[in-house]
Amino acid sequence: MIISKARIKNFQSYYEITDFNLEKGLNLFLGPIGAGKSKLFNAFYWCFYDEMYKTDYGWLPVDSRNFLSIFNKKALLEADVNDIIESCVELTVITEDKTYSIKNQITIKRINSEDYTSEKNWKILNNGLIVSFDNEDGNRINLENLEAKNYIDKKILPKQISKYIWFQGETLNELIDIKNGTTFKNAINYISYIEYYENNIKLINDVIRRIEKELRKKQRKNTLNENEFNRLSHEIERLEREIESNQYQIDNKKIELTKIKKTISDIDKRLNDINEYIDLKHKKEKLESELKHVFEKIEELDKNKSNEFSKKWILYGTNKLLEKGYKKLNKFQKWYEENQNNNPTGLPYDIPSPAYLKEMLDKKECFVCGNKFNEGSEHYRIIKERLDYATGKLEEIKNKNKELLSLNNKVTALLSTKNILLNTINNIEEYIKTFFQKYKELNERKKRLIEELKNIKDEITALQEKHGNKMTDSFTNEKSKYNYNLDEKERINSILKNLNNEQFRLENELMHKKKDLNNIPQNTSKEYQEEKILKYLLALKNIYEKTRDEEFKKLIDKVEKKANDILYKITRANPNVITGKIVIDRDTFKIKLVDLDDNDNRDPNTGHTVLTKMCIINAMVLISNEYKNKSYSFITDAPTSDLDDGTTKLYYKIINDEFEQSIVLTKDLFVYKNNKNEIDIDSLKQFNFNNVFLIKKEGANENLTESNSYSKIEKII
Amino acid sequence: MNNILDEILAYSPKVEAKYKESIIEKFSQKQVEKGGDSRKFFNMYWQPFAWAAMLGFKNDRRTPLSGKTDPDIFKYSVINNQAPDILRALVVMAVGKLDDNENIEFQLKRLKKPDEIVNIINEYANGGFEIISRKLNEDPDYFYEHNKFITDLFEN
Repeated sequence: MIISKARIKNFQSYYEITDFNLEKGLNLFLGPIGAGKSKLFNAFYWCFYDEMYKTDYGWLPVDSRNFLSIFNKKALLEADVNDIIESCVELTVITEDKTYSIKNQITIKRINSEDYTSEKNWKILNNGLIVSFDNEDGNRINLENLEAKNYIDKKILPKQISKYIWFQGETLNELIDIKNGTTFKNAINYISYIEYYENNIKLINDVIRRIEKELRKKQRKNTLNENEFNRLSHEIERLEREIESNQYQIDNKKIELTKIKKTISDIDKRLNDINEYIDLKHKKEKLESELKHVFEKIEELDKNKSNEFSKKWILYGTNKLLEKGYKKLNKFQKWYEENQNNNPTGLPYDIPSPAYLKEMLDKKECFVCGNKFNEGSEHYRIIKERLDYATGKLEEIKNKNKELLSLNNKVTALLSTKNILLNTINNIEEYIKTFFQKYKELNERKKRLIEELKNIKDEITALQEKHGNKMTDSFTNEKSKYNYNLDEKERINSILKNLNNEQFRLENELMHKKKDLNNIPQNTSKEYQEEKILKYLLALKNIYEKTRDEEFKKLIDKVEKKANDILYKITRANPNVITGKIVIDRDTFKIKLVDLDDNDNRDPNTGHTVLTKMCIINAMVLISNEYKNKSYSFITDAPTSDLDDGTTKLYYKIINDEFEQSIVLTKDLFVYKNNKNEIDIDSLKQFNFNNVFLIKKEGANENLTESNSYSKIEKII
Repeated sequence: MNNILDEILAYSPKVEAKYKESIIEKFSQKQVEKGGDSRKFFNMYWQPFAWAAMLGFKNDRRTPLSGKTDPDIFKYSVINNQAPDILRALVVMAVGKLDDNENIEFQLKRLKKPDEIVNIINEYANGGFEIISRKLNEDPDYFYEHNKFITDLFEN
């Protein structure tokens, strides 16, 4: 069986019409959290079985109380009064002998403008499941509703086994609980003919009881001790009635126990979700505070950046210009040093000094030649002229030197900045690098935190959508329900134990009574026809029991071998996964992952446990297909959340290779790079995944809600 | 005063009115504007001026001022108070740009008053404003996309 085409219209997150084709082999649907993967799974399931999955309740029929859960919220919101909306899922299914069209649909009309999310404001116009196909004569057959459902169950995909072929990752534990052998035993019963043998054995037992009754009637007439015979006959009939009634009670208690176990498992999941929710809330608060701190740091750096830029960074690259300036200043200084006493005559202006010349004139004596002279003499004139010249020139020189000194002081002052300034400039590059490294680190941290926060918010939203907004309020309530159900489980287990003991005692007593009855002598030795029939029936029963036991043993051997083949393919190609082998305990049916040297003291982690369960389920489905010579489309939603990327891909490769058709919905093949979730298409191509679809939400730029966005499917490989 | 760095403090740079409006005012937050457009990169008027002057020097773009100028946009003392290294660098770079065709004594004497140095800085800043103005014409977000002009800083 393969599903070749799908059309989804206004179904849950799918707005208006979505069409896509499916191929043989693996069809991989990739989508991030909340994109619409589980809704697509729901669409397949609703189309085949007319049921909707409701968290904490499981699969429920769609009726007048919950039909709006089928519809796309955006389509509902946009409808005016009297508008008609159709929601439908139509699948084309090809089996070995026919092509079927399976369509489930509901059409509703808005009857008033009040709350569009309430069923009472809508009216169902028509709804129903239709299976259409051409019969052997080429006539088109249309089966509707119950007839259609029965047909699907009998001819296309039996509902009993569909839960092992179409499953959501979160229900994996319900399907196979490796520590509880009953789940595995049940699964084997569902996928094999074991149940058929069991039913036949029951039937034979019933016939045996009736024939024995008939035989006793005949034997009574021929007995030598009628009183004893009658007493024992009555005892036997009473015991048979009691056994039957006891069995009825056992069966009922078993059903009750299964329900309680399911309730406990559901509450446990809810409690885990609540704990996870509280944990996520704390994480969210912590991340928000960390993010605020990072934002403040970035803001502070931004402010500093403006100041640092203007105060320091703009000096970057000015070395040459500054060196040129300082070179010129050095030239000025050198020139000054060379010219500060510059005398064009070559003689110092102040030798002899004006004071010395003045003393010569006062004493009228030349201190150079030693001659005395008079005022008005040639000596006097020369010395006087020399004094006048020196005095004037010196003043001029003094003035000039003063100016040059002042300029030189300015030059010196500027030159004194050289070391500080050049040192600052030399450090700028390192300083800027450090600054931007810090800036980069903070921005990367900011991006990381924003992404983590977004993921946590998505997880919180998903939990809120699943359980409602007042999750934590219900914690105490849920806890007391949990404890109550645990007590109930204990109580029923104890009743069951007593009932089983009683059954054993009754059966034992019955066996003895039958023996006693047979030991009462008969008048004539005569073989009744019933005795012959009983011999055949007991032989037949024996064959059925033997076949059942052998079949069971053979199936377990096969499942174990196949599961290990699958495990080996994954672990062989992925050296990072610890190898091991799966062992099914033949007495308890518990499943273990042990080391290759049979050491079973391992403490497997969640990933190993999930991998073990998936290997077992896949093995069972594949063997069931082979055993019944059927092939069903394998559909699974989020099965690999606990596995690493390599193991996930290898697991999908096995599905791709082993099943005629498989449809896998997952969020696990995204890689986070360039600040977004991306699909590593090359890596998918390496695994020969040739039918890959992307599911994404569209319709709103930000703040996606159920009523403003919708899921889109796009084929990417 | 024997220090040109002290003498220059009382002086104000001259900026062409068009650049004051299109660059300095547009991209600097005045004190009173604090809390206004926080996207403005510069906090004070001297900052874009200093950036323009550095750009002018580094690109050797000296453009005499023309048209209407604002003669008292801020005092050099503001730069000295906020970023003394920048003022020192501007003055030393201006000294380096004194005309080498003049004899050394003549060039030295241009340091008597800061006028010549101030004028050199003004003209190089004017050249820098031309460069910034061109960048802004090409990309109006030049100063908002802060890393762009910081990247330019390294390239120039």
